[in-house]
Amino acid sequence: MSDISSPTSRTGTWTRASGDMPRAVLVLAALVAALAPLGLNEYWRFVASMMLIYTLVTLGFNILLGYLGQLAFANVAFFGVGAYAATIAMNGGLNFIPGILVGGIGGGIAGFLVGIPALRIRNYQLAIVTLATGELLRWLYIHGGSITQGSSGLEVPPMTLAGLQITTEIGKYWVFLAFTILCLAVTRNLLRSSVGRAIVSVRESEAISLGLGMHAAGFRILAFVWSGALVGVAGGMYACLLGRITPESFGLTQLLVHFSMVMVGGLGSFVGSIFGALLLTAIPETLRNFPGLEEIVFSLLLILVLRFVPEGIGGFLGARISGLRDRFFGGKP
Amino acid sequence: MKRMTAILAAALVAVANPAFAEPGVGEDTIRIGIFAPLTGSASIFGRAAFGAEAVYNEVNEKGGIHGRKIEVVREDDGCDAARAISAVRKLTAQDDVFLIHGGVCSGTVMAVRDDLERQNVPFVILGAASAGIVKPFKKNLFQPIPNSDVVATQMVDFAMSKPGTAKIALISHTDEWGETNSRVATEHLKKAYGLDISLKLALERSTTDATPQILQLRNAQPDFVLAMLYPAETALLVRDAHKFGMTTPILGNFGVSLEDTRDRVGDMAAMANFYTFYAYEPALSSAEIEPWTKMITKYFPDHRADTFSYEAMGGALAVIEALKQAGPDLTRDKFIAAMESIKDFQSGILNTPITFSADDHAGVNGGAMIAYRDGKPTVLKTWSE
Repeated sequence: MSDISSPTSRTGTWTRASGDMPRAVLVLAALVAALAPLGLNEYWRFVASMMLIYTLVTLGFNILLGYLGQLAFANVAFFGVGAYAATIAMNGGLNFIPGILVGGIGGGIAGFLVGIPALRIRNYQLAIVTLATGELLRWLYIHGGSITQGSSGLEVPPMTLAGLQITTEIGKYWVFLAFTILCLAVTRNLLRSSVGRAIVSVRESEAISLGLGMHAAGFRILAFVWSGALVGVAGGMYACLLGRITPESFGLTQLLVHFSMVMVGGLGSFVGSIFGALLLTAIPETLRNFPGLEEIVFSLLLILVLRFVPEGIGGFLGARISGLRDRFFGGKP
Repeated sequence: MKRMTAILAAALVAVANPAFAEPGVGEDTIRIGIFAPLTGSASIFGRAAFGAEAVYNEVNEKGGIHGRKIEVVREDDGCDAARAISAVRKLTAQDDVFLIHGGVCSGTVMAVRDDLERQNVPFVILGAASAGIVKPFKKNLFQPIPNSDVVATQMVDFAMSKPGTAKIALISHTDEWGETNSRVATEHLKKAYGLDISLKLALERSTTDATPQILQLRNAQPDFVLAMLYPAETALLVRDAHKFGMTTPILGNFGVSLEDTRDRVGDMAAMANFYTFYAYEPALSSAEIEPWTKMITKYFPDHRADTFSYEAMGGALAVIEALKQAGPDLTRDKFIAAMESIKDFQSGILNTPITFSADDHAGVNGGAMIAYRDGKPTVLKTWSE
């Protein structure tokens, strides 16, 4: 039984993509993403890196909210665990790539631990438990003594890759872009594989999935682990970009930003996750010089999207451009 | 041909006049970046930004510095490290500021200070009080406000200035901020007066009831209670102490305003035994502080000036002094050298002069306490005052 109003559950149909985005378009998009920051100043390059990080964060969150259909709000917990695990590992001497992998593993383990109670509890109970997990972890960061350095946070060593220190914003951006493309490609393939179909099947009807011989619990846990790992990697990148992480960065405000990105992008939409992250990272930065307006625009956008485009940007575009249509996205809820 | 000559002449002037090549310094402007929490739960502390900006506006009105007017670019950091980093990147990379006068939350300052050091951008702290900000020493970073070590020491000295004080209790948050402040106070009490803290209690952040702590304090009967707590929890302690009839003086920390506590407690009678750290010369609501208040409201008519509004005005005046001393050919290195030469600078707003040196950038080493006396805020250096 579906736990939240997923896009497909109300229509009862799955819309298969009529055609994939041509490979040339994907290569062109990657090229544009790689070259665009050359025309930007250091500040906008920093913002561009933040967009990449939030793309992974949103996609990871969407795996649980959209694809698995679970009201699980532990995303900020995965993000924080990834950031702290990667930072502690890098402070311990690991360089960037193994450090980020530690962040991903940390996030994956957190996903596994949150996924276990999710086998037994659902809906609002799960929402409360996962929200509490995030707050509990934030308390641990504050009271973690010399391990987390409390409220003043942990300093992150400079990014080191193959013996080279990456200190420029453009250098960081390109490394993050490579990681993001890799994570997007792997996640895309996973979601389009039999595993992805099984996860969506569990969302649609756990009883039928079991009847078909699927190991529903296993796929449910797998979705949590993959979501945690993806967001954990993003957490590690976030730590490297900022140079210092503090507990305040992993609170409810951060979670609301993640949630808004998913809702604006579209539940269960791969491309929507990307658009949601890009848009909601750019808006606050564009409105920097107008204190207070950021919150108003953010809230209005959320209200307007939910009212007029409830399927999110991903669903809206997918209905018009076949190459952007998600394989298991059902259109309007 | 004429056009070509003009372009060449302009290029020569630009090359021959290196003073204008310094980031943020124009022919008639000096650009200063300010960042603070202007929105969110910590925006009460962000009021310091308006005090600093008012000082800069006032200087502009009087003709500026060496013929240059100060141009302020203000950014909101929401007291969040990520937003602060983003704000500072914008200020340095896009707005091209000469110096930054910002940071009210210690976490945001810690997050941006290494980046600014790498770029050699002068960084004057707006209101962040953690002593850890100036440790390790950074050449470009100046803290023209009393830091947490100074505050904790002043709280102990004030308590010990009351004849016969023998028992001091301490209540703090269990986070790193609370623990650091408690450690400094405990060590100073031992070193300077040979005493130990008689009772140490914890009060978690966001707690809504301090009854267990008040009952323990009432039972222990200390002469003073040092409260290393944030504003909301300090007000809770003061309110519950009054509720249970506890008359032991409670001493609050720097981040706790007398007016804000009064508003949160909502009962003047409960404020009778509350004292809090105070960095300014004139008392709140006094005739002496009025000119400072008017300076702020002149440029920000909707601003309701309170304790935190004045916090960065002394630092802004020190910046002005250093800009004057650095001379018309302004460079960042000259400005930093001028800041380091500031000695016993009487700002008129801070109750302790500002002094920097080449190896010490913690500029304010003293303070006072403030409490209500006959319904009026009164500044007290010692108990007997």
